[in-house]
Amino acid sequence: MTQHDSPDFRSRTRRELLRDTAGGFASASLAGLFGSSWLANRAQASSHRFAADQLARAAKAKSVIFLFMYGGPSQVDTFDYKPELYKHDGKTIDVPTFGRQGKRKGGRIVGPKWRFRPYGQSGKMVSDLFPYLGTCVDDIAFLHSMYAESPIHGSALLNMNCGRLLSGYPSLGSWINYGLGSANDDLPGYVVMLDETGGPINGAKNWTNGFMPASLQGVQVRTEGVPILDLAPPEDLSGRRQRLLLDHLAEENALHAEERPGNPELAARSAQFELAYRMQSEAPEAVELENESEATKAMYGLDHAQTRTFGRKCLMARRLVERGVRFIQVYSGGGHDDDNWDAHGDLVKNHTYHAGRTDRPIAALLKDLKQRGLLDETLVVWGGEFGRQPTAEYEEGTGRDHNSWGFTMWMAGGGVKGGISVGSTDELGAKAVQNRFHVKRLHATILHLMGLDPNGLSFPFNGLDQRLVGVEPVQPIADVLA
Amino acid sequence: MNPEPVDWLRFAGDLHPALVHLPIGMFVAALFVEIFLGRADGRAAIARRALWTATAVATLVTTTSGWFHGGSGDYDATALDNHRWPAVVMAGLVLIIALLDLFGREFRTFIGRTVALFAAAVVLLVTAHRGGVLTHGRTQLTKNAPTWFAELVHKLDKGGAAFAPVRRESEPATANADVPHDDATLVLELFTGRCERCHGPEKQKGGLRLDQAEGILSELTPGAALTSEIFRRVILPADDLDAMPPEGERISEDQLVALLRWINAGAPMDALEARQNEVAAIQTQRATELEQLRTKTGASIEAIGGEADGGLRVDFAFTDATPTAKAARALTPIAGRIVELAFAGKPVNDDFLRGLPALPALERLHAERSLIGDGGVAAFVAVAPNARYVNLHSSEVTGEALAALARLTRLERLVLFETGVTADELARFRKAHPSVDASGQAALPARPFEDGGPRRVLASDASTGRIALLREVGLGAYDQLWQHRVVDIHDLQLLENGNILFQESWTRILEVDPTTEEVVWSYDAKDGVEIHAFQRLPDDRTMIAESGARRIIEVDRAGRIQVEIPLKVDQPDPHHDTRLARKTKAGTYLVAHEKDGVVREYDAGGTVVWEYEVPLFGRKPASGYSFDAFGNQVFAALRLDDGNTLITTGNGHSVLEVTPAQEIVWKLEQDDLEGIRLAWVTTVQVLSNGNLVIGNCHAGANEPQLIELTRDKDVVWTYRDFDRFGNALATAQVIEDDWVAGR
Repeated sequence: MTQHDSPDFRSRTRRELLRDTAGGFASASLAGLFGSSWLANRAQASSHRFAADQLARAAKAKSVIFLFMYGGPSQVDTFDYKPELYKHDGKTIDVPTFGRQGKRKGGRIVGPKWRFRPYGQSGKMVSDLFPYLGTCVDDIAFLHSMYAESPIHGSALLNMNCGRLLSGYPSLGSWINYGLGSANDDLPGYVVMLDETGGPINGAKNWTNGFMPASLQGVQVRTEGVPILDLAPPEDLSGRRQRLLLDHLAEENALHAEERPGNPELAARSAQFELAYRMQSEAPEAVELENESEATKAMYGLDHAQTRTFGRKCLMARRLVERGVRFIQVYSGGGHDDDNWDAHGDLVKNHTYHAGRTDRPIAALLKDLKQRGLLDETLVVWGGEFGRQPTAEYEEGTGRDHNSWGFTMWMAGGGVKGGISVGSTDELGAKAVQNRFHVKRLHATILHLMGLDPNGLSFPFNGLDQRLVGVEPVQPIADVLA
Repeated sequence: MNPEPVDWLRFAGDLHPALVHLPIGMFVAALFVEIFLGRADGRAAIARRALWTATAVATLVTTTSGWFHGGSGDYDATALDNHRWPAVVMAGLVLIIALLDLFGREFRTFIGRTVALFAAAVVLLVTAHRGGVLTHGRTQLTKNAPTWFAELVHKLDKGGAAFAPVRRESEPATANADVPHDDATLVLELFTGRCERCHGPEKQKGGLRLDQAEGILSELTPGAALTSEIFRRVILPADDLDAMPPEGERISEDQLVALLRWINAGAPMDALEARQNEVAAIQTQRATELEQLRTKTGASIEAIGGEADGGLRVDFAFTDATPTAKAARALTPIAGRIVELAFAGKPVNDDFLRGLPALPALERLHAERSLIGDGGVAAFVAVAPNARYVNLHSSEVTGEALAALARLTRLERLVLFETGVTADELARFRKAHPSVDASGQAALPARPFEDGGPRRVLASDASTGRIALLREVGLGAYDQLWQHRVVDIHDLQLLENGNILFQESWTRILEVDPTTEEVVWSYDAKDGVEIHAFQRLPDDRTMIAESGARRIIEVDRAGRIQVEIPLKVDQPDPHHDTRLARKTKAGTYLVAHEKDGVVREYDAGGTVVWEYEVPLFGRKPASGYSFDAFGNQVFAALRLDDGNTLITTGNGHSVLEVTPAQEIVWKLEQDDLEGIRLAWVTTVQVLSNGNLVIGNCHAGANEPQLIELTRDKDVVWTYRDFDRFGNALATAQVIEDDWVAGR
């Protein structure tokens, strides 16, 4: 191999120049807002690319709905059927675990607390926590061998949402909007709906844009009352006056930005003002659930106190998908202790409560997307930041500690095979052993299904081309791709 | 002019491919002679020696010519060596065989010859295969082979054949017909598509850049592809450390050939640049076209991948534009590239679809939540015969549109939710077109657990003075819904109205509404009478079996006795005359007489119409209550639909199924269940799945109190609860049909 005298700095400078000044960087930051495809821009900016089409691969999904079960649902009590585990209930067994109590060599087994029964053509075993969701298994691909890097909520949430344990990195929804841009100029491309008990630990870091332009962050939408806080203009600010004000602000901002090339925040700020202006008219319509038929509302469980709140979020998620929102994250569980799936105390009480609130709405979401022909293009992802251990956390009771060594997630629709299960944990469900999938593999699969190259989608920061999946190439989970 | 001097060595070398099959054939022939003649002497041996000599000569000549042929430089050095050296060994072995046969006569030389023969046969296989690899490519043997064979070859010959058959790239689609697909284009695609990721402006692995002429030229010899490093690297087998690209699919054969020809043509960089410029010009032109179209139609027009490379999505959904017939006609210049057309949620009527040009590449139509009707669908089908996905939900279409849609031969998915298409029409369409996933409304089941979900258990135990209604929330986990104090109890029922019929004592029966605790009905027996069985009948009467009084009565809501039937008891005892009694569907009464050890069936007139004496099976009765007790103190009898009777034998520790002819056809004994021992078997219940639930009373805290078993005696569910209940859980009912998720 021949060594070259020096890298060609001129070419790199030209690329960066294009990016930063001729609308390159600005358009990157605006991609999520003005519906222009960043990839197309980048391909044009880079004079050397052969075909822009090669970058925008065949997308199977147009939108993602990520149903985040905050706190960590127990895999052996939900979808990861472990018949052996029932028999060991109460016995002390040597099985290494790693949770908030640290590493342990073994403990008292807590048998699964629900019966499992087969569903659908695939005969998938699902626990009695999810009798409605059970009827959807033929559209679902279960990932039984997920593992994450941390068994602690805060860092594990960042791991699942942003790909890293540390703060400061953009979240999955930001990456997708960065890569694809919004389909609808009048709504944010990235919406987050929190549990009524509050947000997850770390709050907005879980839907942050990180080092990307601020316009790529998730926008919190509420299902009751005002959908987006602080969006409505003051009463005395008429439409025309508001427009004049915004136009003037844009001029001033442009002058300000001219002297400070390369600062993405300035472009993002202008864009946010414009988006907010347009959302004033669009957002209320998008979240107006009263237009839905009674049958639809009943399907999502809006007629029952128990399922109403999560049902509204699921129904709203479908409406946002119809309106071109790229990434919607819905949290089940928030706040502290048993407000989320973090069943350290009474497992039966905790999981009965949370599954009872989500089972019917999630099943309704899948069926509704399907009957509207949207499931083909909408990727639904279910899971928490980790799973739970097969052993008890304390001397007494059924509570389980965190488990990032093995847990179950599932995907449905949007180019995913239905009725399959890939990977497995050991016979106690303690640790992923076969076809183990790091969280990165899930991210790579989601990006791939959205038509993005997980190893190509990058954002320059701190002298590195940062990627959601990190430096080493990560392959999508081929087994689940339809 | 003098002719060029003849290069005899090269000429000899060129003969190699022609000569090469001769010694192989001769060797095989000699092999046969050897097998059939062996050490034979005489004239046969002369023929054999002559054949071996000729084979040796042919082998030597062929190998020599091959040596010169290899020098021509047309071949990859590694692959060549892989062929050359086995060939030399082969020649040597054949020579040894011939010499041994000519000059050796001893047994020793015969052995030596045989060994050499086998070795030669193996070496010949290797040599021949690698020769094939050399001339026909590394996948010549495996490209069309079954996987197991390809794997075997790969395992046997790491230097040669590749395991993975090279996958053919899909044919370039018509949409890109205006992009030239000559060698330069393919080579350019190779460099930009594959090499540049690691050898480009972003990364320069090994210090190499293949996005610049300088870098490309440093790795090849113009005019000599086969000695060019770049070519050697891309044809190496995938598992070679030097192979490029190091991961992902191997480079396509088309690209390999193009690269070979391009280098052999002198690696003209200007051709690459010219092609690049052409491509850029086409792209610019297309982009301009699209931009103009966007303005004209108001649609969002995006490049998407998909089967038709260069395909486009035309989407009006999130734009301010309303698609009109004029906008439809404006799409004509790109009509051949439109893969997806979408106007979901737009007030689009049939005029738009009628205005569409022919759309041969169109695969997906999103017309949901629009004003499209049957006429529009017909117009669409006419212009887009290759559509695979058609979404019409919440549009104006009716069943009439199905006739047109049936003409879409490639249709895979059809969405008709909330349209005028009736369920019958949809069902007929589905039947006629099974390959189409045509969907209307998708409903959730009216109730979860159609097969009977987690159960409720109504159980009681006099020793803990409790009757309780429980809901199973997990395996071994129960929520208590209701409880009541009792003194004595042998029977209980959850009624269809939700009330619970049970007894507080041997003389008092209550019907209680568990939500309000209100006693809605009660019955008190006289002193000296004990009640051990009762049943609410369909006519709202309550059947009561009275021990001591030795009668069955039917009592109405007001407490009046409407029916009274005397019971036949051989050994009267107020506590032991009866255990459970049930009115059968046929209107008879089936009564377990505990002390008599007999089940008797009475008709409405009180006549005993059937009787079964529970046998002791040759065992001696033994007193007590637990495992070691024994007797035939029958507790319950249950008439099955087929006329047989299930009988629990109490201290007989068993369950019997008896025919009307008193023949035992099924029997569960004390130790039939794995890990469970039966003591006083009390109740028996048949579940909807055919399984039995039996009561296992007085068995101690280590045994379950209730057991669900299959008729094959597999235990599928047990109930053991020594907190609420104790060692006298005599009666229980499993309720299967109640569950609304977590509610």
